[in-house]
Amino acid sequence: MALCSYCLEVEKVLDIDIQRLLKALDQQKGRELSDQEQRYLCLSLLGNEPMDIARLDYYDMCSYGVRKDNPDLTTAELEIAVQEELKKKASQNIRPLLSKTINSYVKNLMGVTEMPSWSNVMYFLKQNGYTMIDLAGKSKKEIKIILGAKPSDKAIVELLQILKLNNPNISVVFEIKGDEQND
Amino acid sequence: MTKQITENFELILEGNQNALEQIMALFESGELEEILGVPVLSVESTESNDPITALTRFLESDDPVAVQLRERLENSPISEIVAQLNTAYQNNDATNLPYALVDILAGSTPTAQNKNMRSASEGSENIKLLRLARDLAKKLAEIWG
Repeated sequence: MALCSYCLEVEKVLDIDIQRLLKALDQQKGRELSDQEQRYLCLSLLGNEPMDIARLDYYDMCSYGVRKDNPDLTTAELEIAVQEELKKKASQNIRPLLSKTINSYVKNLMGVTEMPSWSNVMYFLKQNGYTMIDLAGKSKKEIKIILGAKPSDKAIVELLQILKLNNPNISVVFEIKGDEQND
Repeated sequence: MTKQITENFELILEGNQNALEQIMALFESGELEEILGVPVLSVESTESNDPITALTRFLESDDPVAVQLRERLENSPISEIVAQLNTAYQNNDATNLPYALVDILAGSTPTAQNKNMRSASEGSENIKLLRLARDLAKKLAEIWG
């Protein structure tokens, strides 16, 4: 299976052995993941919510449709209408598709019935050998950032991207204590 | 539905000294808070408990086994030794691990030489090698067991 550009980003920023993970998820599915499933998996690992994915995949289409149906809207009104359309796409298309496919395979792989939080998935991947072993040969430090609220998954990925620019040896987030759990 | 278990959140990363310094700089300039989009109360650092890090730390220590190992493999970088030991530990049970470690210590591949070592335990050098391999196997079990 060819790796997409998002796969390479997952490897680079999160240190995840994406080839191994894809193989494990192929087994859960019973056949190879489709290109779309592979892409959605990577986008999810990179901290994207269904709305972010909808924005990537449907923005142009929604913008065109809204403009065509409402030619008199101002730019600001148009943008609000597009965002509403994207919310619909996220809840009616992306979320059900993720639930039926990627999330289901990930849950089976982890042996759980409820979809864990992003950080718990990351922790599982790290603990079960799905991350590339960092063999920089230097003693590493555990760096603990105490926060007053839970950051978004995307914000954590953004921080890692910034840190990785200067420090390729920094490892992935492996734990968020006080994390939110899905009930 | 979600629920918050505790009041504060801890985001834990692993990195080298440079990474820590960069995070501290981002924290002090306020950029860390900007990037994460939530209040950052403090940044602390401790030695990592990661198994690979633990082994690296052991290999760099003054432990007699680590010292002997470094002397034997003086031309190999620590990272390479860690990788070899990790592979040997993952692929061998407790009985075979010392023999796999002998190969690493002797700088050979796990082939005929290993078998020779098992059958011909004569020779003080070979005995020393096997003794070190057994000590090392015990240390690996302590660190990774």
